[in-house]
Amino acid sequence: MARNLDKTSTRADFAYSRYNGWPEIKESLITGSINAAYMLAPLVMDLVAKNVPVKIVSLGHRSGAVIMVRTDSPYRTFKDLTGKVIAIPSRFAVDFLFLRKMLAEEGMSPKDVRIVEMAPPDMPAALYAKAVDAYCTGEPFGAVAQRAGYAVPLRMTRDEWPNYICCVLTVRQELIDQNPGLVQDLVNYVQGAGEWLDSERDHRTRAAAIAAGNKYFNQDEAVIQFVMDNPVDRVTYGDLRMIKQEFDDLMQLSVQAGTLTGPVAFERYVDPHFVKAAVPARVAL
Amino acid sequence: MNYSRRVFLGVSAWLVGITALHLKLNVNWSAVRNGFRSLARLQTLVVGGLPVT
Repeated sequence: MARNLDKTSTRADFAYSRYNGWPEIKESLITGSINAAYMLAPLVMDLVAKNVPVKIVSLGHRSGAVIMVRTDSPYRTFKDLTGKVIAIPSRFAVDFLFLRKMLAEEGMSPKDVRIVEMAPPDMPAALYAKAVDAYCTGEPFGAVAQRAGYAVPLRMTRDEWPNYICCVLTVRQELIDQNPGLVQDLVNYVQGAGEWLDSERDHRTRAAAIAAGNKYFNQDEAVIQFVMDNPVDRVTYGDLRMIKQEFDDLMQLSVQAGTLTGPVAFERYVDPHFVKAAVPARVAL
Repeated sequence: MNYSRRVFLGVSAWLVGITALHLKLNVNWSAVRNGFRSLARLQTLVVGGLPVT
């Protein structure tokens, strides 16, 4: 997005293609109808374990997941949610690992609650209608309910897991092999956009105005702004380093959760060269 | 203009209109164009994503 709005650039464009579900985006990446996508990190590990030639080349953000409950509910701990219905986006979502981690801290397991899979945009309405008792997802779908006044965060990754990784920039190996310059250019812009977003508060306001558009988040701008401001580290973009230990931990958590059938070596699913060689692009917005 | 000719023209116009709308709304033209180029000569890199962090 930053690249296409950067009118000082004369190089090839990047085009964002909005998807509505993880299975669709996964299929598009597998078939090669797209060559790059933001994907759930455990989903990439699973694809690589199944010999799909893709690699993670950058993080997209850190933190940004929340577990929401109704404001008028009595739920203040996970023990209070025993036997209750909690929605997650997917078993491959890192949100699920976040939920498991929070349950484990109170000596609970996923068997102590009823977990249902649900598309994140449907979660705020489901909580409002009391179809679920809580939901765990990425922003802005926590902020939608919080800003409307009927939900509060029970837990946020900013407090519990600040270096949380979820969506990662993934490219097909073919693209790395045949056009590494373009991949480097993309990573330079992702890194540059991350630095730009976290460098000044005004940048977040400008980004919220753009991201709210129907081509991107298709959300009320005030909701995106709420995510950016309440608090400012609700989602962070300034540290997009790819740290092996963090990925290994995530991989182990996925194995324990049963979303991966076995360990996958970091080197198989991550190509760290582009981030190491990155020269963060100047964002001229 | 007789009745059957009017029906034929109406159906044809409808078909052309719907097809044009479908091509505009549902076809990812960047992906189609990229399909005819080698990855080394991509002019537009399509990056997929979901509107969620």
